[in-house]
Amino acid sequence: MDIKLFDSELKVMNVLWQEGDTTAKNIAGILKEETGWNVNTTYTIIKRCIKKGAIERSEPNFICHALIPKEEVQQAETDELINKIYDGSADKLFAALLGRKKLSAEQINRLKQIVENME
Amino acid sequence: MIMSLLQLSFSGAVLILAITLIRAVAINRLPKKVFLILWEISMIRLLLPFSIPSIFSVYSLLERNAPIHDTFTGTPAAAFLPPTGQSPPPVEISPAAPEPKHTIPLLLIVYCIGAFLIAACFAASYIRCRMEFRISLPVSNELAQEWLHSHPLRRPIEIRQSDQIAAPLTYGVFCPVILLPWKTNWKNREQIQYILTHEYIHIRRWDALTKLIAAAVLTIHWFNPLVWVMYILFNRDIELSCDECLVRRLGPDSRSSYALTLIGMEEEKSGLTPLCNNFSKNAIEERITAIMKTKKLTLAASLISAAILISVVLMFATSAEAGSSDMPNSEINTAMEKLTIYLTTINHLREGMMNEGGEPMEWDTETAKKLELDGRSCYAFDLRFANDEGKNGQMAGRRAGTYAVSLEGWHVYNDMDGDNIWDEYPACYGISFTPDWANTYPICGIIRGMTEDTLTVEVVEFITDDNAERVKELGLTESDMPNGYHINMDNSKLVTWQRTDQTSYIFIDWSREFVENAQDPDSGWYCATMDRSIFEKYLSTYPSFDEMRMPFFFNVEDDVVKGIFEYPFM
Repeated sequence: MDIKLFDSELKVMNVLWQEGDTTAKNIAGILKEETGWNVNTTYTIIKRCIKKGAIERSEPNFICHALIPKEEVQQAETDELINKIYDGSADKLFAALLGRKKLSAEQINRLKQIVENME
Repeated sequence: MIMSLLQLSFSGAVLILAITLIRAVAINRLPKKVFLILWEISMIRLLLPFSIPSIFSVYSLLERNAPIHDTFTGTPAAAFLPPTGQSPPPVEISPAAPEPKHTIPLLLIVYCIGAFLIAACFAASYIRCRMEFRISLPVSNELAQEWLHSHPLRRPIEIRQSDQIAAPLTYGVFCPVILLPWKTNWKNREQIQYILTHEYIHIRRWDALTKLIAAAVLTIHWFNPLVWVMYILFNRDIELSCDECLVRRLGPDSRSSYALTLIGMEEEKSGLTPLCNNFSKNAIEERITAIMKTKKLTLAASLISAAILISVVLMFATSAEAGSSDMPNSEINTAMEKLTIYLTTINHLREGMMNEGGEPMEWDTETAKKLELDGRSCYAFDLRFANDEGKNGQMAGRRAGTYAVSLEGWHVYNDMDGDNIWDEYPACYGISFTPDWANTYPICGIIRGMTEDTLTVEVVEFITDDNAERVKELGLTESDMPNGYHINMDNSKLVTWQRTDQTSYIFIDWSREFVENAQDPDSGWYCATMDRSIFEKYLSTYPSFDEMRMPFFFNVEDDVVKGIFEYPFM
């Protein structure tokens, strides 16, 4: 099985790998200490992991169980999401609407040329 | 003085245009901070609905060179000009030309939809980003701790990392967080220092807050293309100014390595996508060039910057100056408006006061004074005839008496000789007839009902024997129109209009019960009043609404009755 997880999701998985099966509440408590996330944030990420098939949640007490061992997980690539959230600022959203795209290798070289020439 | 949104947007646009020109010429010659301040001034100009009078204003210059006052009511563009300090736009007396006001509600709806969409767009993007940033992870390596320790600020700064972003950024106004990409190379101390210092400068300057304000300005003025220009250039200049500050902090030697760091981050972001775009290319090129051209701040540059700032503020952020006064402007304006409405309605049939075409009136604000008359709080002004070329040129600028109006109700006083003896205009004023009435009251109808604020009227066709074409069409003979007119009720329709406090009533005082000042034998036939109860009393002398046959003439704008006029049918 090939599951790709983001850093926040890996953080949740790490808790499960270290602690063994435990409740969502317990995970939230640990991560509150470590990352400052509030309970809802942690629950959101647990839900994402369940969707990706990395965690199974079972009765009683909604115990979370890691479905995959640490060795099988890959760090996910983020390119798609970056495009979706426009680097996180509203003004760049408008830049995107105006057609802000990535620079070509040619343009990068041109920029380096400018720096060299002006030094 | 209160400015309308269009006036605000227009004066803001002029300011933006000026800043854009200065920016094009001097972006690499002046400290970038100058442009940030200029943009902030333009945002304040766009947000504050008051005009700030100044004799240096470009609008003062315009006024001196071209008589804006005369064209104010004529050209639509003039309506966008910011109002002068206190003198109101002179009001055309002639109420004959109805303005096409039906478009305004539609425009308002379009404006609101546009503003809502922009706001929703910002909000959605903002909320989405904050949700993503919330799940970032704290950074706790030694370098980050060390850096935080050496850059203290009142607001607590946090450094976090996320794999959801490609370039470093800062968010949060009061609890700022520097968010770094997951792949940040903590071993490259120089690069880390550049990135963190850059974000630190943003935090220290409250840039997150000013960006939010800029977004608000854009939402309000979304219809103004120059405000979009301001928004884009302001966001660019925030970065340019931040870069400049960083290079000054870290020394001129840092210029090229900092520029290369930025290019390197662009490179990392790009991968090998062969897409190019002029907008971003220009922006990043401008930024790299600006960094490389950063110089030491010289005294000359500082002085020129100060001079530019002061002159731009004095010339473009202000409006033409008018007489100053410590009286509340809104009350003065209300009073002037009231007097204009009153005198327009009451006097426009009076011979001698106004000529037939209606001569522009101008209230002399310098003579504005507050006074108490009959225990009522009033404002008084001198009335002058505005320049009305060709018709009554000799009257131009002539003082036409002093008028006062109560803030409450419709009590109007007149002091013709300036001897401080005030005559109150009667609630019901006797006036004489001029044949000009048909232009002002174009709609003929029979009143069928009336409430506190509506008037139900059966609109009919009024045909005079001048209208030969229509007379022929309807086959009217002389016996149909013994008095030279005919009322055609074939196509009549029932309409309901609004009436307001400003609706005027002019009716014939057949038995002289209403007019109080009947000394003049010619006056007294016509009674003009703004007092609705007097008109209601008059109507009660007629048969009931169902049996009413006597038509009135109406001046209606946007379904609001401006005035009612009774024709002397014999």
